[in-house]
Amino acid sequence: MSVRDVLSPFTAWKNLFRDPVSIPDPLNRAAAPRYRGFHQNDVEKCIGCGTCETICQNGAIDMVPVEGIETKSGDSGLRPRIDYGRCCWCALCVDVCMTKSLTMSNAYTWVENDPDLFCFTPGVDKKHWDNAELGYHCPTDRRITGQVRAHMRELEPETRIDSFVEIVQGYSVEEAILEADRCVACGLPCATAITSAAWNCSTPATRFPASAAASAPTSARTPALPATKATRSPSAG
Amino acid sequence: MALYTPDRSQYPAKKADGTLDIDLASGKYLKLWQGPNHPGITGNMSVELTVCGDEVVEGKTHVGYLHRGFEKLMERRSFIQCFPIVCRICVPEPDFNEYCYAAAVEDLSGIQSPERANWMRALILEMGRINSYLMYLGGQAGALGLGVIGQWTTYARDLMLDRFEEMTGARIYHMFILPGGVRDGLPDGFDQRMEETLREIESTMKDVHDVMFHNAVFKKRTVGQGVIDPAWLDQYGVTGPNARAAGVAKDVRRDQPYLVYRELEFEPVIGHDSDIYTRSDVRRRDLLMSVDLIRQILAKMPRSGPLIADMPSMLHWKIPRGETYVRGECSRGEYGYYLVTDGSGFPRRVNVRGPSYTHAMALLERMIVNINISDVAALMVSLHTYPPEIER
Amino acid sequence: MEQELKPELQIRKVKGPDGVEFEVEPLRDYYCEALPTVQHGAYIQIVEDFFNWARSHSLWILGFGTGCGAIEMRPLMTPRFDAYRYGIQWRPTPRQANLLVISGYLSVKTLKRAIRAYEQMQSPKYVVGLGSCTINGGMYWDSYNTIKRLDDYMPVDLYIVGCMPRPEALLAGFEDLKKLIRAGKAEGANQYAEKFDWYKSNQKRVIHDWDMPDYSW
Ligand code: SF4
Ligand code: SF4
Ligand code: SF4
Repeated sequence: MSVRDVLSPFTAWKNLFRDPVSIPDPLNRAAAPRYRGFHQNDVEKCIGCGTCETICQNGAIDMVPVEGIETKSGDSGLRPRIDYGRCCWCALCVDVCMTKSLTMSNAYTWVENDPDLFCFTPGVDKKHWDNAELGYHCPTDRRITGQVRAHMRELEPETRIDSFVEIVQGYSVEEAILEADRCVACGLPCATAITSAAWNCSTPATRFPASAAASAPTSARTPALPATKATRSPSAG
Repeated sequence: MALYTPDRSQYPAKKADGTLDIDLASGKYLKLWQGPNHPGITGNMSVELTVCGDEVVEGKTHVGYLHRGFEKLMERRSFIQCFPIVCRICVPEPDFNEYCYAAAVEDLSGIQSPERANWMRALILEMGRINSYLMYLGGQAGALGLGVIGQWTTYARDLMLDRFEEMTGARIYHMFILPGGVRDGLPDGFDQRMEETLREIESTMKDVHDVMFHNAVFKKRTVGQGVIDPAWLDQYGVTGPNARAAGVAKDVRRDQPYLVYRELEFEPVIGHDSDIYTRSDVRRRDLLMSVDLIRQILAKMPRSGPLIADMPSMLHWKIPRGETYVRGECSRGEYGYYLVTDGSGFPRRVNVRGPSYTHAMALLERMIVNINISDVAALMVSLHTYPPEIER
Repeated sequence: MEQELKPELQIRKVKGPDGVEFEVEPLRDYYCEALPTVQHGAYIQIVEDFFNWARSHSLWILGFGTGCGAIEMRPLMTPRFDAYRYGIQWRPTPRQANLLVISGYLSVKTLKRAIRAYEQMQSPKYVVGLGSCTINGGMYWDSYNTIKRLDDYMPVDLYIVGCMPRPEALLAGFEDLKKLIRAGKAEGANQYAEKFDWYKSNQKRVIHDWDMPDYSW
């Protein structure tokens, strides 16, 4: 212990002569441009595939029918309704969205005294952040579902001009698995075929060598995802 | 070196089964609960103290106030669905959970995260470390009645949170380190704003050094107080600054370099006296080292290149059978994830090894004996434990 | 489910300093048995309005961080966001506080403490729920150890959404709460007294080791 130890704490007083650091108006402070705030959905672009519902680990998204949107081929007529009593703003739904219709604004203030009011269908229920420009948008070059389409091999024109071999050959098993991996099992264009392919395939061995050992996909657990699907499958024609 | 003195004058006798013979009805002892609703506690936990006069004769840590059952919840979420929930395990420094989880998943599925993503990860982890230390310094000073330090460090931490916000899109739970890489690159002009923030933090630390570390009261109450005997380190699994303050250079960043730490220059910060003062000082110097590391990372990191590896579709991502343990050096010690997969789309078992558990339970219960009630808060804070991480 | 009481709560004989032995029944002797009552405004409307105005400008928050949201309170207490300029401050004990902020998820064990803290506060008192977890379970909607909807256990005046809500959102929420108080609509304490049995039965359904009096104040 020295004289310094007694005196130096008093240097704290120098802050008296410092400009205050308080934010003058915190109530109207904009969040960062990338901030993951409240959801927006372009209902015209959305096809109601339900992939966002599938990936949400909080069960925050329900697909609900929306007035004025018809069920037609390639559009289930349902739109995601988000429960903010469940959401954690992880933006997985935004990342996974098939059409990139679902985005996030950087709005963040919503106060209510009834807990049931926090369920809303973005894009349908009007909110003040619907037209906000800033906020989290999934970068165009990234999506968390497989996105590289496997190329189907072609034969030389001379060979294929008088044969069906090319069509019969189609994909190899590995390529077919890779292609099926892209399926999100939305059931919109093709009701069952691809869906079951996606659930039965193991991870493609060619692209992810370490996965080759995972040849026994029979898990004791029933995968949670198809079960939720079943509740709202009869959508598209 | 002043070591723990086993002065048993006030101490009750032991019964045959090893527990203390405390007869509450005798009026000599009193039970006192510190927490969970108490200003002198690190969070939502409590310590049940048995005191004799103002000496503590026995302390029991009670947890369970924040238990959410993460390890179980993760078993029924697919690998990508676990990613948003892991960060909630430790509130003040969430990024280590994201990193360890991502690294464990990558390890088992044979995915390599790209070089640029590794640099980004190291940057985030160091920023989180600074946040965590700033919060600690405020708490340590506050536990001894020095409230002004907390005002300064929280302000500095807030500036860092702003940097986090513009980079990751969230203030506290960044959910940025996806398995396979990171979500995004740095925003424009980030380096410059970061540099300003680092300068502000350095000047705050200078003030903290003057007012907290050169403070007669603080010294009087912390020097020689709450000593961890180096012999306990292995017995109790002490890691991180708590071990480094006892003179043992344990630092996973150097002992088993992960991410890009091999390419960075640093030396683990070491103290010798192992008391509360030394632990605070080790953390202060470690914070300044992190500031330096961030500068190095920003100078060396590649600015272009992929941010995320080529991933399979996360919706039905299965990971082969296997088990792994991934570790890293967080601000409190060694943080690790033990992950077992069984070839399905869900983790079979996840075990989180948080340093707070060992520090706040066994170690605190041992150290709390024979100290004054008014020093309990300082001692508890000096072990730097975060209750959400103790119980998950 | 009947549980055996903890030793310190059991009826026991105690010898006082004067040598006289007497019996102590902690659950009865240490607490008051009266139940909460509805308290109407006692004065004419204009006086009540003045009181409400005054109340709205002194929100004293109990510094009890129940869940993750507590970490965003610290910026509020410190110069950057400085909630003190809005008449908000933090108190260490329930007796001095009139606003209980449930900062996020509540595990069952914390719920018990939160209820006691709430009941010990003086009326008029208010409850604000922060974050998704208090609204509908949030992240932990399928956890075995958290409650899902705070409304069932305590009268909540206001919810602030976010995971976690930013300090700015918290301030906006507190400003809204002030409006409610000024309008005389923040009647949580009276609601609690009115529907006391309903709240108690909900609370006892999740708290299995109920070893405290029904109302502790
Ligand atoms: S994933 Fe996108 S397109 Fe599909 S339902 Fe959701 S918002 Fe609509
Ligand atoms: S942001 Fe996350 S939690 Fe919220 S709805 Fe989307 S996927 Fe669900
Ligand atoms: S809403 Fe989010 S931040 Fe708040 S307690 Fe729940 S998980 Fe934590």
